[in-house]
Amino acid sequence: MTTFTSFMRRAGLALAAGASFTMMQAQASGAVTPEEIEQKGTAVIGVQMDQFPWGFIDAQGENDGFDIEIARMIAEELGVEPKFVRITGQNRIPSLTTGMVDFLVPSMTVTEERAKVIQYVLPYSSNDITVWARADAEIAGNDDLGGFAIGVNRGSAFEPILRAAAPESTEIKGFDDDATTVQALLSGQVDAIVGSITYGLVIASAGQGEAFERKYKVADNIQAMAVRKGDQEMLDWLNDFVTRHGEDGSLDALYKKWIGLDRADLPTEMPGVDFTGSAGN
Amino acid sequence: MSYQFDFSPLLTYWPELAAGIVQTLRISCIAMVAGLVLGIALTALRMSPSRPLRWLAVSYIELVRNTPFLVQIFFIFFGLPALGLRFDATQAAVLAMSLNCSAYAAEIVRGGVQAVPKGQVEAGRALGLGTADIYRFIVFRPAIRAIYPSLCSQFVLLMLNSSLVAAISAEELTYAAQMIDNRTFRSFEIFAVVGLLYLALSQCLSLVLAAIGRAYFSYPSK
Repeated sequence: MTTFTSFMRRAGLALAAGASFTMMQAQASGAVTPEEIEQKGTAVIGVQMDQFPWGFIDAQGENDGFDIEIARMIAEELGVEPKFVRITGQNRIPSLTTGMVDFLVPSMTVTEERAKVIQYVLPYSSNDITVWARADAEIAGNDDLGGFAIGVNRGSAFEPILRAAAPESTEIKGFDDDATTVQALLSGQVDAIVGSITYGLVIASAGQGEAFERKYKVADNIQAMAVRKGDQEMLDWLNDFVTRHGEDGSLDALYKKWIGLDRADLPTEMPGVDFTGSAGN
Repeated sequence: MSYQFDFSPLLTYWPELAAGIVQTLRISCIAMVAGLVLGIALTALRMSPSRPLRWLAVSYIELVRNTPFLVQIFFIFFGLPALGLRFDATQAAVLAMSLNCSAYAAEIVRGGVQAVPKGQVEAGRALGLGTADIYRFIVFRPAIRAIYPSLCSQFVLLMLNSSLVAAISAEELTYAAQMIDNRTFRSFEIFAVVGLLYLALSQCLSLVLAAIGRAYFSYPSK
């Protein structure tokens, strides 16, 4: 009997904890407009801090990278200071939907599923989804993946793409982030990994450029910033930003500087994704 | 408040969650048994007359208790392959959990052994019991009985800490939750439910351990 009452008491506590958790979420901030950001004086921007060369912390401890330069441009045009908040594959969408950040400059892949939850801005960059593997692994196409253990960042868009592309028999291992995914390849825990073309820069900087190589491109990866659904003014402002700097060549120059390649022509329409904010709010 | 709660993805993905629960319990139970056995062995080493053996046990216990569990997991999974020792994610997880648990268990068991009055050992010797019997009946069993509640809470903690092995792709409950999250983005719903699942697992584990305790340690008033 004592055990039962003590169990009930604990269950009650758990329910109370669950309820206060729900209420905490209920207080999360809602919409934000460019005007409000100007009044606040700071733009709270979700950026990656562990994704060389997209967004990372440099040797001086400062945020740097392709996304960071773009985020600084946005803050400058808004006339405010940028405040960077670290996002990861797992937390970036909740960070946005709960109001922890005003918007994301995330080098995040545009997918139809994500577009149901967040509002994408027009794409600003792209990145080949690439298979990197041990040099001696015989992998030339999706069908070859079946015989290998393949690592992938499980919070990324690469994971569902890999699952769709690889045969049933493929052993798929999900890791926390890009760094541990690449580490799994380097330490031999997996035979190959699927992810960004820029993994090659990381592999080379680890001094392992000889032992591992780029096998083939799995898919295109179109990347876009994101705002909360319903933040129409913020969306319009950022769409204008991306369009203007696409035309004046400054995005091309930044892409060339950081990724070392020419920025591809990017679509302004994608099936199942609305960049105008007119649908689904 | 614009957030709309939607628990339906959890219904779609319940087989993944169920498999995650089973795997969490499986690796935790193996690590508990292995950790306790290793912990008792460490206690024996630590209380042995040989100074190098004592030193070895103390170094190991201090090393494990003063480094983060996640670092230990990464060391076993990512570091050991460089030395030619390769474990898959589940093996690495069980190994890390067992080794981690053994150091804490050793400290707890030592407390119990030291709590057994010397006079009882001497009484056993006076009654003509051999060393093995003295340890089995007079030292070990009362020692474990004395520290059993602490041991149980360490085991519960071990099970909750098993959520960290998701980082190396061991497919337990947290791994399943993160995978579902990545497909549905219903983070609050998923982690609220997974939090309650861990709570339920801890409570069940506590009840089972308490029942085992009652069965084995209710002497002499059985």
